[in-house]
Amino acid sequence: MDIFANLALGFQVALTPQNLFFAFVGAFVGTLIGALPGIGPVTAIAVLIPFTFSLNPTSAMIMMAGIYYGSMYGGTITSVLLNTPGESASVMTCLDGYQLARQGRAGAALGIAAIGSFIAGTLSVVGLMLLSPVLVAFALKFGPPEYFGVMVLGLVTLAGLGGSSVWKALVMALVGLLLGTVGTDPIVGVTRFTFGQPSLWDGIGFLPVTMGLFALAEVLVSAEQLKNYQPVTAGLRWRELFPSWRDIWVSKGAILRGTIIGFLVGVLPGAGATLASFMAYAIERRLSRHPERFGKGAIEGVAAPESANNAATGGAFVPLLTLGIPGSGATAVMLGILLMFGLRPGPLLFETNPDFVWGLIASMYIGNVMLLLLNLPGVPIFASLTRIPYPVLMPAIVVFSVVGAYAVGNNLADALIALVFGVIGYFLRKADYPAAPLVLALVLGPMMEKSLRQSLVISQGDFSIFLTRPITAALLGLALLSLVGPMVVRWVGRWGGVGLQPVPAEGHREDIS
Amino acid sequence: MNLVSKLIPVGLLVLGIFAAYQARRLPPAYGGMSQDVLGPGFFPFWLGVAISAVSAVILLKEVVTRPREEPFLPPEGRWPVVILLAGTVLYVLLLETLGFVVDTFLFVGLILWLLGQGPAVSLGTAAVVGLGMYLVFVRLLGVSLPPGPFGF
Repeated sequence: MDIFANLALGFQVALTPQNLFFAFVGAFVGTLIGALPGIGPVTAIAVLIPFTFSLNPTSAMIMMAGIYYGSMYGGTITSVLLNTPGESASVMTCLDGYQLARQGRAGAALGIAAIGSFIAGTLSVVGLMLLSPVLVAFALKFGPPEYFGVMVLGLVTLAGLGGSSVWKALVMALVGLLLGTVGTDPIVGVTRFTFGQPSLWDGIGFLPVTMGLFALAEVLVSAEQLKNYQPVTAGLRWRELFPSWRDIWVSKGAILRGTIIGFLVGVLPGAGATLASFMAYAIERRLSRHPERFGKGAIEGVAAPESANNAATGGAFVPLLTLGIPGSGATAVMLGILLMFGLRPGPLLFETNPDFVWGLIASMYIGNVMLLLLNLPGVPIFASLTRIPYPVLMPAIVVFSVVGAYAVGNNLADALIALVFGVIGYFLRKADYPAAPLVLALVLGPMMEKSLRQSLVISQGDFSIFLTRPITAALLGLALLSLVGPMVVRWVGRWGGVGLQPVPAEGHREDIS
Repeated sequence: MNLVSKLIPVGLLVLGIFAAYQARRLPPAYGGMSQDVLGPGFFPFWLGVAISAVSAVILLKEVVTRPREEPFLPPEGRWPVVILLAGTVLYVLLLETLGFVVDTFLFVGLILWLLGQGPAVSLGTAAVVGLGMYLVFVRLLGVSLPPGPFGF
């Protein structure tokens, strides 16, 4: 496979005026929605799904990738200006970003975030391009047991590294898997848990559940804070928008290290942008000659996590495109959209739809350029958005999510599912149960059960097939390690009397994006 | 807060037991063509068992830990949440009866007014959201939304 020929094909697809337009709209609208306080990338993507219904799959994915990137950057804006991260991946950005804003250097912080994100995004797309064909060649040899292993690893890692209680994350993943079994059995065709409702024969729609658990629940939680909501009046001037050359020079190491950490962590199924940004920040502080500056407005403290979470976004596309296995809430929603269009990502997609795969990869380059062009001069516009009174936006988000759920299958049942999960999600969120594992598990559930049962058909009922195939055994072993490892560390820590800090920072109850 | 944090694992425990019980009643594995060894009940049964086990652990931890003092809902947050929740339920239920445009207009307008926005802002936003989304989705993008008695 010739990468350059493929990439040329990709650019041919992505550079059509139509697709350029969709990349632009995606990045713009994504930033706009991501800049709303309390609204994370998953909600941004879910709420904007109806826009893609009339598009072809390639344009739809190009737009979705733009929304993903854009909403990540939008989250940075609220982190720096309001000290409220839209999602957990920008929690670390708050630490130094908000301090910089208080020192009147919000522009420098946002500028370095845009530059870091651009460099990281571009390099991670190069990584995606180089790594994908290798992984595809490898994945073609995968049988059902290996796929089962990868999915278990992805789910367990997301639960184990999500930041909140491992038990709560785990139970959410299990409930997601159970919800995935509703409907017609994938192998023998019996209906399960349908309770005589024909509308459940096709299973519980994954998009309505996401709209409920993320968009509706987020709006309800933020409604509580309505009385405390203070619009910011901090104006940004053009001249203050750009970081100085010194800022960029100081941050160059942080950006490069953040990119590498971010990409590698992003490729792992289940790890992701949040973990990447935590690690990048911690490493940067450790390496710094003046670690005491961190938390008081160090520009590297913004550059490192922002580069890392953007690189992780690119990395997250590697397992999604090559194995067809999403590793996070946001990529799970993307997979849901692809399946809606009848495209099943996986090693074969590179053979059957190269224009789609390489068009998407090329458009991610373009999306990065667009985001940089849009964001350096556009920051004052997006920043002024944080001044829109929040009450005005709440009913609008409700309308978007209800309409989105309704329009997926054109029936009221899906809107009702979104409503029910919105209410459930509100209570779960209040009690710190993360929603991302449930959503990911709901998508993976049917595939996971199918590969489990196919594996046992191969082995004629012998469960040792999961231990005798080396790749499967290694994947399952890793999964066990990432589940038990943190618990053991915590127990040992408590036993030794060492107070271990829990991972989540204050004031966020979002999940891995 | 304390009640909710205990009720959730209890609810999950019930869900797990119910799922395991229901899964037991599914037909056993078919032999024959599909050679399916596990059958349709295997996966949901063990999921039910696992959910019960994990939620029992969570419940135990909630009982053991010191109760949290904060109320589930801060008093000043109650009104907006109740308004928004009730409004959303009505909005979904009336969507097909009233049609998208009318239902959306009423929902957005009433919510904003009840949450303390002025009549001008409420009416203006309601009109922009209702008509704007109708034009963009139905007319421009061809997404079908419930029409209602007036045809829109």
